[in-house]
Amino acid sequence: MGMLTTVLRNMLHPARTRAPADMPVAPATFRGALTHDASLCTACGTCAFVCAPKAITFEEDPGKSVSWLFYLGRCSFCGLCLQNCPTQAIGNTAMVPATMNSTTGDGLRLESVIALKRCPRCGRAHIPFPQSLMADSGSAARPEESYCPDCRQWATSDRLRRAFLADDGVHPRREGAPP
Amino acid sequence: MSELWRYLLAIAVWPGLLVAAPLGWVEVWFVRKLVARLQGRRGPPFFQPFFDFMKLLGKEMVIPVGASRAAFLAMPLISLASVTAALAIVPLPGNPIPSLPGDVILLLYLLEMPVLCEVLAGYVSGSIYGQVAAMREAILSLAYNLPFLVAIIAMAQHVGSFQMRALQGAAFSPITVIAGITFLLALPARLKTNPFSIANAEHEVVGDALVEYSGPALGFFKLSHAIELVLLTQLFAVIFVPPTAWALLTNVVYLAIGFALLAGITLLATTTGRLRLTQAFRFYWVWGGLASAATLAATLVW
Ligand code: SF4
Ligand code: SF4
Repeated sequence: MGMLTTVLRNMLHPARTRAPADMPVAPATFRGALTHDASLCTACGTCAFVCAPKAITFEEDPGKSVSWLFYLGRCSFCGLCLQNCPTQAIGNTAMVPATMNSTTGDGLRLESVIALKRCPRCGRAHIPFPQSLMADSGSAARPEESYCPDCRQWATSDRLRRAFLADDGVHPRREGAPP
Repeated sequence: MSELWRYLLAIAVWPGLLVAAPLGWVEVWFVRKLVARLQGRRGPPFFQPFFDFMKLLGKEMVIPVGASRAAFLAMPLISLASVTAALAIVPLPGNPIPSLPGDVILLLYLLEMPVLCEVLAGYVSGSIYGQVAAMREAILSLAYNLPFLVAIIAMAQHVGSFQMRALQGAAFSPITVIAGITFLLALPARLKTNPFSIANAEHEVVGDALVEYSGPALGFFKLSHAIELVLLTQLFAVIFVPPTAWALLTNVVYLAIGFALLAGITLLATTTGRLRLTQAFRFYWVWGGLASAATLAATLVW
């Protein structure tokens, strides 16, 4: 009899289970799925290195792009990747981002494509240095802004050399410098 | 319409596969939804049993090592074919098949087939869990078949014919009530719901006799169970509820009775716990036996 009253009471009350669209509000510090800003990422690989369950991987399309791949099914939401990302390219959401909910994928994967750029000096395809960080490094608004890392290095040392040695045409370019 | 076409129509369309499969899914949904609501859950969406079936059709089928491939795959198909054929000879209004003499015997035989298939499937699969479940199912069927068969045979005895249409047309009498109660006594065990969910005790033997089944083979077994729901509830209505003068109204009444039966069985299932095999066996041989004796005695009196 007790069971009967219990089940009949259940019947008259709304269900205690929640529908997917009716989820409780997540607290502000909740660590959910990741977001990724391709314009900030330098594909340094730190996030993949610190991620214990290997939820982050990279895929390269040589000469064109590097993809930052995140698999939610492996993530343990420890937050190490976003703590360690030097450019703050990784963020947190309180829920599964819309792109992960796409009908095309399995709803658990996030792919963020970082397009490669050609170095105006040597022509090598490389990952552009994030604009926001460029301002901090002091090389903004200089021609080397869009150079590849090697040419940027060359440009810096070349500027140093010119500061100390007069450009008299006598001293040729340093050996081993990029063309 | 030639004879052959009538049979094909009955097996494939009404009351066969084309109508019974969706109806079976609706009934499975009804039971699942009701169980969920009684347990304070939300329950599945309306199309869920259909989605489950379609999903299973698209899944890989794993045949256990050492199992006979032909026997393993034949079981679900034989089970589905028998329930469909059984439903086709139930004289639901509009059934194109003429009544055959002795079709009650054929029906009783076909009704046993899905149980037999499941028992064999458990043994064929070679899984120890499947075998334990199959053994439980076989023993339980020895128990509940006493009141189940007696209820139908008593009605046949009462009208003096082994023809379904004669049973359907039987005048309402005390025997109808007593035999109907005896039939209802056997129904929860026949449908393997609580407290007789002994052969499909997922907490004890992982699942049921079909633990090793997957993909389309499992899908066909599930479909045959869904059609079995329709078959058994409609069978009760046909035998124990007098038909009305209008075919359509009779069908509506039969359907309503079917859903009411399922609701009652579901209510019983949610409010009770699982019995042990010996308890269930004793229950059916004592109370089922008494009910059977009362039913048979009633056929002698009236
Ligand atoms: S997301 Fe951050 S840590 Fe990961 S590769 Fe990009 S810049 Fe490096
Ligand atoms: S939150 Fe932790 S587990 Fe998830 S991707 Fe970042 S480092 Fe890996």
